[in-house]
Amino acid sequence: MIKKKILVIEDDEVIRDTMQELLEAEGFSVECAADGDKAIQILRMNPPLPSLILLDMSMPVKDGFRFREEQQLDENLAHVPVLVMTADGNAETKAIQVSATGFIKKPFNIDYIVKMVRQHCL
Amino acid sequence: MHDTTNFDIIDILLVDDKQENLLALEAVLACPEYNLIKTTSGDEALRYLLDNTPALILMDVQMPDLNGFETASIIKGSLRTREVPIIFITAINKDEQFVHQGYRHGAVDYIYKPYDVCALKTKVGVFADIRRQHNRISRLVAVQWAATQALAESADVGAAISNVLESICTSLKWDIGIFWRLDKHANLLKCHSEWHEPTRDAPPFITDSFGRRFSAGIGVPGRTWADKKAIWTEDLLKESNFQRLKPASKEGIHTAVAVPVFVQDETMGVLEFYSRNTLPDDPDLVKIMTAIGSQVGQVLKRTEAHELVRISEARKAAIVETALDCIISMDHEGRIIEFNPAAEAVFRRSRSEVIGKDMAETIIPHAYRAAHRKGLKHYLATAEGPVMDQRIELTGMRSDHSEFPVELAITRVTDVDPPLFTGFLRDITERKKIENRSAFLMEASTTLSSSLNYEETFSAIAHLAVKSLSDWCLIDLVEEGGGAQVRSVAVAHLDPSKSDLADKLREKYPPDWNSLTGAPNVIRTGKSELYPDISDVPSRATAENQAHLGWARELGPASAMIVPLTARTKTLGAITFISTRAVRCYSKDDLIVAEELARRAAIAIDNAKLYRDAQKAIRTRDEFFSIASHELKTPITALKMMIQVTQRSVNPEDGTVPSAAKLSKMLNTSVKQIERLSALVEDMLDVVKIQAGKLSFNLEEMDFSDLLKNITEQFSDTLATARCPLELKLEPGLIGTWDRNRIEQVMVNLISNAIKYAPGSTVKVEASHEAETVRFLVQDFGPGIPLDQQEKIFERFERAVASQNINGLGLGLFIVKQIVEAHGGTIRVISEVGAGSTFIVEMPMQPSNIIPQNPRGIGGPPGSQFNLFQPVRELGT
Repeated sequence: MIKKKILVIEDDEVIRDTMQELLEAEGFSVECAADGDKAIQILRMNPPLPSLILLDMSMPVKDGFRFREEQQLDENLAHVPVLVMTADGNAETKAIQVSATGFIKKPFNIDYIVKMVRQHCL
Repeated sequence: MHDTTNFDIIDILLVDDKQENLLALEAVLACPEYNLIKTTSGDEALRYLLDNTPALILMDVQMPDLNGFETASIIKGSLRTREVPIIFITAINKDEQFVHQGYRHGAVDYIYKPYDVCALKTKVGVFADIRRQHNRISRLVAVQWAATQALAESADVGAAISNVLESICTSLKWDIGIFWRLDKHANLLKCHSEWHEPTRDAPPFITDSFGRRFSAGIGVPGRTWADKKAIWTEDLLKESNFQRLKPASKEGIHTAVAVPVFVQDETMGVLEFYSRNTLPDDPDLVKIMTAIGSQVGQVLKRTEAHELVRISEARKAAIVETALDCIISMDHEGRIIEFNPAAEAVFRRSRSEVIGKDMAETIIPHAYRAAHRKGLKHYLATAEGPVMDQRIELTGMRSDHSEFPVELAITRVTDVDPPLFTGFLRDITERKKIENRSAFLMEASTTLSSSLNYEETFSAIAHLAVKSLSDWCLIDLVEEGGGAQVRSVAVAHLDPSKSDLADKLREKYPPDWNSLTGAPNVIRTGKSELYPDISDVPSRATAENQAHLGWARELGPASAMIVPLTARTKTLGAITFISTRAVRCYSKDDLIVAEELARRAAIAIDNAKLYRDAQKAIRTRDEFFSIASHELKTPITALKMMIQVTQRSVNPEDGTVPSAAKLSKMLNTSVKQIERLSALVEDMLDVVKIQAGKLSFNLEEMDFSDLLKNITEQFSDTLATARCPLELKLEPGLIGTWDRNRIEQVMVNLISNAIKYAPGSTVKVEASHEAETVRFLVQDFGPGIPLDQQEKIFERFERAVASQNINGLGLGLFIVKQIVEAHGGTIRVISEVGAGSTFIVEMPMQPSNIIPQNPRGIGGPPGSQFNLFQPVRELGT
């Protein structure tokens, strides 16, 4: 069985690495990007497209908002579901703002992440 | 005819040359009713007749010198005596011719000697009677004439009645006259006036009468009034029910006559006359008196009517003359027929000047004349006047053609045709002014409260002012952030074509803070300035050059006032109101309005400012929360995840544990996350302390170079990770007295910023000294900071922060600056976009004392609970 691919876009190295470790342990193939720019690059250069994107909103270079704008403008990428990860109190609002599939509040509970990822994976 | 009236003594002239004849006549005629004058010759008789008119002459014919016929001829020749009857007494002969001669000479009769005594008496009695009758009639005529005369000639009704009483009494020989006047309200007769013989004191009878009131049917006056006819009482003393009997008897009064004073059916009073004589009823006299009573009544009525008219006229005149309202009457052709003093004052025209003039042309402004004429025409045609009998507000025109608001009520004068109109006007300039002012202030309040936008508020105030208070309005504010700077924030001019000029003038010649008058002075002193008439004086005084003066002149100020904008005891600025029209010179009243407007405006500005600051603080707070949330949650998230992941790989039941390497990495990372959290919390606490002015310092002697060296060594890993080569230039032995931890904080902050914002490029760190000052420099070659943001990064957090540098709470540089300044030093940045930034810290090596930094004075409302959340952005994009 081919592992489902997850793209984690997160500027914090520790979170990113831990997320990768966690999801790989759960049987996903994980790609990581430190900002929105790099994520777009990966999406375009490294097929196949991921089954789900975990997106941090506050990032340098290109933040979650701008990433979503670009993703939605690219018809090849637009359909990939996105779970927003944010420390913002208004996580839901943010998710709605960027038309995300769902959101995960920071700091997360890893079981919840796994559950959410499974649920929203294409 | 009554032959027993005893008040008439009849003079009878006896002429005979023989004493015995005279004595005989006297003996025959002797009677108290007759006054017998005996003369012994024609001459003597004629002498007597020069001054007297006897009722009868008994004359002997045969007399020496002037005989009887001759004497008679002379008597008949005199106008006054020609009517006096002459009876000849003769013994000569009874010849026809002789008798005829006697009649020719005026004789009425002959008595022949020896005469029959009885016949003589009878004949004399007849003539005496004729005389009496004649006397009565002449007296009555005289009385009526006198009464008429008295009524006609008297100055007022009181005097007229007194004169009537007097003339009746004196000519008819009555002793007392009283006029009872009907008091219509009380329905009682009251003594109005009286007459009595002037040589005596007022008789008790009169005094008594004055104290009495008679209602209809009571007493002599009351009965006369009720019966509307005269009452003759021959002897009061015989009347048992006569109320004033006692004083009457004391006075010796017997006869009374009372006649009503009336007009048509209306009784106005009663005339009463009293005599000490007992007189029988005299219908003729009663008739005369009744006629006089009627005459008096007419006079009374007429006077009463006149009086009413006079009173109403006087009242009207008084009202018209003293009315505060203008009273202007106009005829149907629109001509002014009445113009009272108030109107003279208000319209500044004299009565004589306007009477007869066309009202429209005189007091109505040109623009309204057509409507006025149309309205008048319409009314005359249809009797419909929408403006009649109601309060309306119009515009009036003074003699100088200036216009002013009037309140007007027009009424048509009743029962006059063609119609007359009276207008009651009031100059309501003052009231309008007050109304306008309160409306203006109300509008001002509404406008001011409708916007919390700072700039909009200024503009609104200026435009409001030019709408109703001035032609030109300028608003100057004290520059924020202190400093003696005045900034023009709004300029408005009534005339849009001049608005630009005003703008230009203000732009080119901003107010000079040092000016001794005008807005800067008002701002300095907080006191208003009023220039009722300036013409071009102040423009000359403040004009800086000819161009300025020229422009100012073109704007043409005539009067000005400058009021401070004061809120919460702080003068925020000033509003200058300028009137360019000579007709509007500012008064103290205007100043009050201006001050009130300024007061409200200042509150509005202050509110807008507070609102703006609050909004900013709220925004800042929200941003801070968002950033803090992210910044704090990130390490926590990392920590939690790592621990949870590690937790999963530990199974106490089968003894599974992660590898030592993995565990070590996890623990190291965890420590780093905790340190990150600690640093953030420290920063926040520092800011709290700074805000509270409680940032503490522990001064100690320390080596700046050593510390910096240590710090850079601690950064070696980070620098390596960021691929930043470090260029360190240290002057050794920079010993000074500082707070080691705080200085470390400064160094860490600046170096980590350099690494953070310019990864991959060189970081230069230098420390040196100049005299007693240590100089510390951190230079990066990153994106640099735009010029306009270089100041802000130390002072105020503004979320121009782009996504790539949102790392950290953004409190770093703010804290650094506070620490440096507390040590008596300075921090500045030299930066160029694309070329990098250099932060330079200069601090005295021995700070004289630590200056606690309290940013309360730096900006933001004092005591604002959001001050904590005014982080300083670390670096521009």
